[in-house]
Amino acid sequence: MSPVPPLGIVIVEDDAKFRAAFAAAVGAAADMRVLGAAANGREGLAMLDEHTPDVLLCDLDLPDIRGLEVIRHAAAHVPGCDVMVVTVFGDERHVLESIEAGATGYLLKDSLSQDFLEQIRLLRAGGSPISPIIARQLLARFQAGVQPAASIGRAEPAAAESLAAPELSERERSVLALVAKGFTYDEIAGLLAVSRHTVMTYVKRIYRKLQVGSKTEAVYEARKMGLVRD
Amino acid sequence: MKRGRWGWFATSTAIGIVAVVAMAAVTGRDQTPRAPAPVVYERADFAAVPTDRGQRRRNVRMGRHLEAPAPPAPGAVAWREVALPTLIGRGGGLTGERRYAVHWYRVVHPLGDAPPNPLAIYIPRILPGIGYVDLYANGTPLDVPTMRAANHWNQPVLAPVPPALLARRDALEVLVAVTYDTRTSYSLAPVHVGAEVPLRRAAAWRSFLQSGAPEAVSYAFLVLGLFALGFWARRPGETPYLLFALATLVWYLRTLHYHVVVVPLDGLLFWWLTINTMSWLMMLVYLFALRFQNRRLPWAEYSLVALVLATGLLTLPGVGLEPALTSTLAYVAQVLIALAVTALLTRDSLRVRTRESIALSAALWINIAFGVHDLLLKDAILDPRSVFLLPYGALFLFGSFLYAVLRRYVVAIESVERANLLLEERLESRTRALQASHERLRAIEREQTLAAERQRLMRDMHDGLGSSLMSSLVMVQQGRLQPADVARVLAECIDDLKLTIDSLEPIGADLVTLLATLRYRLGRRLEAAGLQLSWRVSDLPPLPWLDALAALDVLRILQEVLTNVIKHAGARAVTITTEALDGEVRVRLADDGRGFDVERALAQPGGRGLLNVQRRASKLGGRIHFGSSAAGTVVELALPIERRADASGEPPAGVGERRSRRVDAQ
Repeated sequence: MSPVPPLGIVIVEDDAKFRAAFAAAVGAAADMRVLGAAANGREGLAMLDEHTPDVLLCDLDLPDIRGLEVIRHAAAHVPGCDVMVVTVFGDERHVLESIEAGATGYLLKDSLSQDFLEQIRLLRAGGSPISPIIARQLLARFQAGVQPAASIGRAEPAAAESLAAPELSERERSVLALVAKGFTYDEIAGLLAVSRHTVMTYVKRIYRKLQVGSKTEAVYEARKMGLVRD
Repeated sequence: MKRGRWGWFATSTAIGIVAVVAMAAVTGRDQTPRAPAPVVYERADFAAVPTDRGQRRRNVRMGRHLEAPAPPAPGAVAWREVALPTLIGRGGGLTGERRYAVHWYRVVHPLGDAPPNPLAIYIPRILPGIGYVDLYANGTPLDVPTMRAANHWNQPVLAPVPPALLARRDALEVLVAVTYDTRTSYSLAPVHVGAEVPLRRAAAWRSFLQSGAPEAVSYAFLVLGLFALGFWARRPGETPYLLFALATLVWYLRTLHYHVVVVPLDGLLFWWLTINTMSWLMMLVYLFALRFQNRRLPWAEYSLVALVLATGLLTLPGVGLEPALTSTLAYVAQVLIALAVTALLTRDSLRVRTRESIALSAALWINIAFGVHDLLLKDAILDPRSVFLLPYGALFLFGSFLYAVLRRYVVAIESVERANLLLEERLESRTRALQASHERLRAIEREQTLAAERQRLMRDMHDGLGSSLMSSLVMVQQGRLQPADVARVLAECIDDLKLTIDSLEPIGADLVTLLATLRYRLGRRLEAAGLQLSWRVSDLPPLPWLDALAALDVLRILQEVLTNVIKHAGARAVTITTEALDGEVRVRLADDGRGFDVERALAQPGGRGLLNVQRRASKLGGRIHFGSSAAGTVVELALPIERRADASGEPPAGVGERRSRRVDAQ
């Protein structure tokens, strides 16, 4: 109906069945188009450069290079590309690493049967999913960064963090706290008297800040190692 | 270390040898080679005149000088030529009657056309026994301060000649008058006449060798003695240090007469002290040596002390013995004691052959040799130009003392170092052992943790995931399970797995986060079942005991309850509420379903798994309450905030924990 072009999607997934399933699901959607489906990281990088997709679906466990590198590449070189990590359990370590690398959303592999396409659309519309455990971790992490006093007596990493991590706004912090307590986006929207969409964009902003923070941290580390000059 | 110890002894020995050689060299040539060379008169005119003057001056001979005897009138005495130095031996036994004589020595020094100015007379040594000496220039008595000193016998005589005495003369007549007790001996060195400067230099050298250096040595050792005394005061058990200190004091007293100018004591008492200190010293040396060898010879020690005391008492002035006699008695006793001590210590050193004892014996023998030399010098048997050597014996004696002390000190330090080293080694090995056992403990701990974890997962999988998959497999094989059911079972299994993963995530002991996680995982299933979830959680205090193990139990309890609601209650809404009350946190799940008979369900093992839920709750130290009616069911899980140590832990092995996911054929 609308003249909006379909979302271009690149899939990087080494498991052939999943790759096929993702491609089939995306291909069936009218508003999406599979630009490429790579079975490994290098192929994925090439496809990113070639197609500049709107959304990258990326597995973390790739046979050749780390999925995080593909994510970083997309975040750095494909403007406007939303990165969705595909993960089995959505556990804290994998998700946080991906977000730091530049992902703004993640998909559980078993959501294929459920609302997989809807989540892609949501992400594209500015909304990122977040689990209570990750919300809790992020709260703790930004807390450490925002309050340098809390890091007194700790060594340089803390200093780097405080130097790196941008502050969360009051609203963003409230959203994280409510997510950590188990409230859904709808409930949070009700509690904060904003729209559900706004709540989701808060989360996406938080993810971006985390990415910026980790970038600054990386620059700080690199400077420390003498890789980058001021 | 050993080299160092020997080095010390070698150094002190070397100092002694150098001193002796230097003395020999200096005594060999008193005159300086510079012109105008003083004239050395090795021959002189001699005349003896009996006198009674000595009788009166006897008691003041050491410190005061009465008027000199009048020189003999020309022709009144018969002069004859004698050689200088002259050594006048004892003129008869000491027991004989005291007789005094004045021995006159005359040297005539031609003045020539241009006599050196100032002119001086220098006599290296006049060594009287009991007596005194006067010096005349052209018939006028000269006042020589050193000749009035208490130790005039150990001081060179240097007398500048007043120019007035030389006016309109073509010669200088030097007269030396030795007034002495003829029962004793004396000696007189050659007379030097010449320019004052070289003679004064020679006299200064001699004075230094004879009294200056010995004085310095005795003071130096006195300071060392003070140091040793200080050491002994801190460690009274170390007697050798006290003996060393006493020996330096005794030595100081002993050598006082070599250099003291004004005697602080009565003259006779001073001589008594001077003579007796030698045997005291020998006694101290002996006691020192014995203690150093850690040997005690009570008999020898007491005898020695008794002998020393007896000698001291017998020679004490006022006890009545003749001074000349006492000195001889004391000297004899001294020699005996010294010989006895030296012989004993030499025998010892030959037996034990320690370096200290050999050094000490050698030092003693050197001192005895020096003593013999000094006795011969004193008794006018040796050239009076020789120097008394005994003061230099201290270098050897105290050198060997110091060597011994130093060695003992070094040995003590070494043994302490060895002990420290041993201690360090022991400590190190103990540390290593501790580390090893710590490592072992940690390994065991790790193993136990792993084992517990493994057991936890095993049990969880065995009861839940495993049995679900197994029974599904059987039914699939029997063709009794439709694909939709397979998908349902698999989805449940994946949920199980997700919760297992979640239980391992860091939640910071926060029960609310755990509940949130449960909702995050199961929310969609509730939605899919058409259940309206009302989420009424509030902040709860952290539960310190909420580790991964406990977290999984909490998750499983609530999972079970929610699954029951989904499957059996037929409810439309579920409300989850939390509160903290009376040291407990409570999680309440209320549904509006059809309810069930709690009694019956609990009596039915494996029925709805309520028993199982109860077991898990009590394992956590909490309890679970089911209240059900036709209007719905309320399940309340109460958990303690602080868990007592005995309330934790695993249930006894063998208690089955059946989870109640039934895999029904449809």
